[in-house]
Amino acid sequence: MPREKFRTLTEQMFYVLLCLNEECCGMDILDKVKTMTENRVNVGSGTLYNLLEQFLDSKMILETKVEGRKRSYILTAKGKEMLDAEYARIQAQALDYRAVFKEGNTK
Amino acid sequence: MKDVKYQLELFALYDKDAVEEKMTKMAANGWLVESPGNFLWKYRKIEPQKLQFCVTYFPDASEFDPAPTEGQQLMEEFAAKDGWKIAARFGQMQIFYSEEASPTPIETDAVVQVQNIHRAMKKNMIPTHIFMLILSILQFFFSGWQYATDPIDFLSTPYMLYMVPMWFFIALSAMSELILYYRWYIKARKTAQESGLFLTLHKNHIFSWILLVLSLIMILFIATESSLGSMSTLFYLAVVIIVTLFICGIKLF
Repeated sequence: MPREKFRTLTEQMFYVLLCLNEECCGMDILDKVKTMTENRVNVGSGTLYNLLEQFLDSKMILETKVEGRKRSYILTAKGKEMLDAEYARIQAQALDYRAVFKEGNTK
Repeated sequence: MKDVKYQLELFALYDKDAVEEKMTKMAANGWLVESPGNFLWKYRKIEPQKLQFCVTYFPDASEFDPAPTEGQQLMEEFAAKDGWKIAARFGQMQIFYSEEASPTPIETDAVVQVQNIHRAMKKNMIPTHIFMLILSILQFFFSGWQYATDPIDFLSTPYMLYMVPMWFFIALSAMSELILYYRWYIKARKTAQESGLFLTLHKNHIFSWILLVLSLIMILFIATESSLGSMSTLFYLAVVIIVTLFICGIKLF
């Protein structure tokens, strides 16, 4: 059964949305993600373009400015909710991890 | 020495890995793709060099667009930032190349990549093959009706007899392509969601192409068996050939 779209966010999705907490143009997101993650995460240009289109369709981001082909976007309330949900999921995973490895369970 | 050459390529539109592998070999031998097609690909001469290739898909593009769309141009600008240059476009397919040894990949999210490929195939490959399948089934019914109404005439007219295996081969080719694609898509979607990896496809297309060639041979039999003075026969054959070529995606005009 296919997973519902955006039920969980991939790392690429997560960081693109995070970058759009402040108004940002598409091109700058590529550098912003690298800087934010110290080059740990790279978002491919094709992936970025497709994610921006998908996020726009799902109303998770809003287009704020168009200057020729340069487009800027910002996170919407719905996008923030998705990020919050993903953050909660990651935190729950971290707690489970600590529960397994910090309480003497050597498995 | 020629600066351009044409080569028969047997790729499925969604078999990006096979295309990338072939483009890399061609570049190493001094040829860069200039104009892909469904059957014949045009290459132009370059200095033999090691290039990285990446095939991506732009679902909203069409091979009938007079120029790249604004969205395509924007995507190509994004790609240029990471050192990728556009080599060629064909319908929804875009072929990029880079001279860098390890450029940032254009696609870094397998889930998004598989979704994108599927959107592109829904625009072109899938409807084309479904149309071929439906057309073939309709032809079978038509042949069946002709046989039922006048079996003697049907059995004594060679081109009517050859039509049956010809359309059978076309139907089998279309069905095999659809089945193979959906098998890959279902596995690729699952793999991407579960492991974040992109499932490669190295499909052997020989079966599909043998079927298509057999269909064309049937057309030749029909042409040689029927009366060459019969304009209606020639007209019918011309329509069949044009429809077959059109639905295979070759631009005729």
